[in-house]
Amino acid sequence: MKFMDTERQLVQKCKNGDIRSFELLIESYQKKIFNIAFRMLGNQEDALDVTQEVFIKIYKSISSFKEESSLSTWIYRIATNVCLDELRKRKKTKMVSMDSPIQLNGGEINVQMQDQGLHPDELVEQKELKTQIKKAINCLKDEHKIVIILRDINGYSYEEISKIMECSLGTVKSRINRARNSLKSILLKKKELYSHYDV
Amino acid sequence: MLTCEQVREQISLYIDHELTDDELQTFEQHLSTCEQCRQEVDLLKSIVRECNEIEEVELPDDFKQQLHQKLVQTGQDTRQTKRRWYMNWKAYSGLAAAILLILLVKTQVFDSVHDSINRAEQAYVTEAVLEDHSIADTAVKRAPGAGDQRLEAASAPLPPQKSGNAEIPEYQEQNSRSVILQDKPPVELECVEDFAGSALQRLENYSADERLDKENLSVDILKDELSLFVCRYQITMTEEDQTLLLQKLEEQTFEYDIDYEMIEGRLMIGVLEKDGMPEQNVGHMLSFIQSIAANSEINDTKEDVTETYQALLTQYDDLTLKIQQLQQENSEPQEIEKADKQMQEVRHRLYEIQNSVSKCIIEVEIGDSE
Repeated sequence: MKFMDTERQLVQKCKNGDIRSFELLIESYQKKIFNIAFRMLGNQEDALDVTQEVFIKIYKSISSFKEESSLSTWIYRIATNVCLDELRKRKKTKMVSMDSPIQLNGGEINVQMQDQGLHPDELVEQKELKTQIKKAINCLKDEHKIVIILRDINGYSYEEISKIMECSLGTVKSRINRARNSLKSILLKKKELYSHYDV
Repeated sequence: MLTCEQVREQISLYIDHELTDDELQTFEQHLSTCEQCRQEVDLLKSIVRECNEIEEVELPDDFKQQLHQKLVQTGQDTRQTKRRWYMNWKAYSGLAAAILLILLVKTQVFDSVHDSINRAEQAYVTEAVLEDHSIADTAVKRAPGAGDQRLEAASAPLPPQKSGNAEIPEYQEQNSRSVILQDKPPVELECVEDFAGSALQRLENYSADERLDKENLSVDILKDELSLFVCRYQITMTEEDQTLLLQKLEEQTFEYDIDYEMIEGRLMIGVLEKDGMPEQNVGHMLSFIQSIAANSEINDTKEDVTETYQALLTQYDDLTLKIQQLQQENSEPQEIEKADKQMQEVRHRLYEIQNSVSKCIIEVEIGDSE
């Protein structure tokens, strides 16, 4: 393998199933995608599984990559979709358990629902703002969570986000604003964190 | 002048410098007069800043190793899946051959072919054994005293039927085979590993070739198949017949996600046709295909084929003898039937081996074309 393979050359090699080229190609994405997955899913273990799933998916489908869009956009699109799918799967499981009481012999047990918001005790214990923000991000709706992660944590432009998420620029603009407001609302549930702000 | 509500909708755009100059001006005008909106902007700014500063989490040390293992596994799975497709591809080419067989019969080529069976020991014979549904295409090169001995073993003519119609064995009567004389001598196969790199390079060039556009993939393959068969057997087909054949083949659903095998198939066709490919590339093609064969289950087939095939042949002979003895001794019909059934099973396995070495045969064909 040549020392300086261009991305395009690497993609071609990957399309022929060359694992080494694939590993070179994804080298710079691994940590970023793991971090996106980590922020999306909220724990390292799931994030690792999902990150691997993302790259396997990319490896399997790179032959269908048309090279019309940028590789990074394509990779992040797959990553966000896999993360969102995972969250949907989880929700589905939770929905079932929340909506349907467990039937036992002659009786039923109402399932104790897990509180999705911040626990006041946790807030008291961990006053540090960044920690609270991380927790608050975890409580956002999926569609808000992903734009906060892409925009405010990873620093993608509005245009890049619109390509990754395959939606219009207008949608991205309004969604980012709503997501930040939502994040703010979650944080403000514990007003003392922001007591110096008169909001 | 903007309302507070309008300003709040634009706060993120303001923070991210996404407002136009005019929008920015009116936005800032409002801020200069509205303390509450100013505080709101500051609050959101601080949240965004905190998000910006969230530190990255490191990947575990063994992540790459784990991923590598999964990739290798995925690669193997994919190859197996595609190989299955490849066998389908072979089947479709078999279908083409089946249709062409009808044409062969029509054009009386079959007569000369039929005669050739009697001289099979002296001739180099390519067989295409086809079955109605599985439509396996097997082309076996007969090459006494030359070429790959293991392949030769696999390609030895099938033993004659006990019923006495030795020249036209039973499977031929199943309306599904053609035997075609080839007068070119075989070329001994050599796996040239050094060539693998250039062959792969060539493969890359092929995959960049616009002809590999997936939209036209199935049609392209079909056309290649068609022209291959037409030129290989020098059969004149009317355009109408060609169209009909294409339509029939296209009815078989081709998957589009078949780059690798498609390329592989195309290379073979290219080599076989030769006219469709520059001379200097033929060597690369050959080594590429050989390198695939060297790494595939075909290699195993080649390793095992002599022993298995010879053992089956011996079994077959023994059973034939046994049946003859049983018939002479006027034994119980059930006993004869049982031996006959065993013999049919052995025969079936012999055919299976022939099918499994079909890829080796392509190599021989390529050797011929060089």
